[in-house]
Order: sequence, then C-alpha cells, then structure tokens
Amino acid sequence: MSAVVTAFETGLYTKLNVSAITTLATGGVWNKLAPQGTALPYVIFQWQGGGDRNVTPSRERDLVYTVKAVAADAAAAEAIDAEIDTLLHGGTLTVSGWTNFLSRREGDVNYSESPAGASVYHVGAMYRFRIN
Amino acid sequence: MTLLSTAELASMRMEADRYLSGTCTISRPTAGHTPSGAPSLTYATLATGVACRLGQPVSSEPEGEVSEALGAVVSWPLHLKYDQDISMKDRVVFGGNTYEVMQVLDSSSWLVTKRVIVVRVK
Repeated sequence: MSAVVTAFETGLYTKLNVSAITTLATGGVWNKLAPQGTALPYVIFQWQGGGDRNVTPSRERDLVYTVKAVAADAAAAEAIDAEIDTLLHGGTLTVSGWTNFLSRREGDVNYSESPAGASVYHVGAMYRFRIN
Repeated sequence: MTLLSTAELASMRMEADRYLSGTCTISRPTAGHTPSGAPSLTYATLATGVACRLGQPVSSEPEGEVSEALGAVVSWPLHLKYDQDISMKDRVVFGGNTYEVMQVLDSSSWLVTKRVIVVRVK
C-alpha cells in the first residue's frame, strides 16, 4: 500500500511544483517538512486522513491532504493559497496506476505563530481527493 | 578604547586554539526533493582536518520515546576556531562518529572559540 502513497504524493507534488506556485513560494514545495533553514515563503503538503472507501468491488481511495502556504506575511500566504486553490479545486492529479476523479477544497487553514519573535502565517486548506 | 585590544583578543584566540586537541571533517548538506516532494539532503565535504574539541554532554534526557522506541537524545558542545565556517545541519565526523549540528551558538563579543551543539547520528 505504500506504493500508492508515494504515487499519490508524487502526483500532488508534481501538480504543485510549477511556476505559478514557485514564483511566489520561492522556498519551494515540500512534502510534510521543509529542510531546516528553508527561506520563507514555501508550501507544505501533508496527509491529513483517509484511506480505502470499500464501497465498490474495485479499489477506491478517499484522501484528505492539508496544503498550505507558510509565509512571513499574511498577504503573501493568501496569494500563494489562491494559486494552490486554482490548481487543486476541481483540478486533476496524475497518479501513476490510478485515476483521480475528484479534487475539492474543504476546510480552510488559517493561523499564525511567532517563532523567535517574528510572526509566520499558515494559510491554506484541506483538500479531498478520490482516486480509483 | 575597549577593555581588550585587538592584539590581546588575538592572543586569547591563539591560546584557546591550543585546547582544540582533535580534528574533524565538516560536511554541508544541499537540499533537494525526492520525486514525492520530501526533503533529500546530499552532503559534500566542506573542510577536513578542522581543529576541534568535543566537550562533555550538555544535556542527557531521561530515557524516553524516540521513534516509537526507548532511547535518549544526548547533545555535546563542539569547540572550534572562532572563525570556523559551520552551520546548522552540517555534519561533523569526529573520532569515527558522525554528529549533526543542531545549533550554532551566536557569536558574542570578544569571541575566542566558536561553539556548536551537536547530536550523534551515526
């Protein structure tokens, strides 16, 4: 089952790692964790929940991923979030061995933290994907 | 005029260097991506034969959970020449063991040695 995880995340990374995102998120797009010292802003995506649906004889997976911008100011984070939304909400991922037939934005992510005194803004959403 | 002259500071640094009893190799990572977007670090040698001294452990947590197993994280101070190039995430090979730099202690006034905090990774 790990192969489908890698296949899906490769498809999601490939979808996000495009100039529309990386010209704004100059720190890049990272799966789960950016390397220490990565300059803001960047994009993080990570598995949030889901798995097999088991409603049809064929294999179908329902996956929720958090995809968010991490930036030093809210406006920059929102601009990146908008680009992510354009790509993912209603978009299609290329997942090796699988067909992505649904991609939808669901719950929003919006919070800030203050590591080392400076505020860092996290803006994005949880996206639901279905593949079979 | 400050309390220490430039010559006096240089003398203190020379004296401190005498306590750097060992040598190490420093490697620096370059971050890349795996095909699925996860970080992938590639290390290249930055410097060899670097004068250094590994100090006594500065923290030793009680046994706890590390990667779903019992373990402990211990860190050490590594002392180097005051102007040695070293950064967080650099790796240091000293005495056959590999350590990773967790923190470079900020330069203070009249710095005579550079100190970094390392943990053993191999």
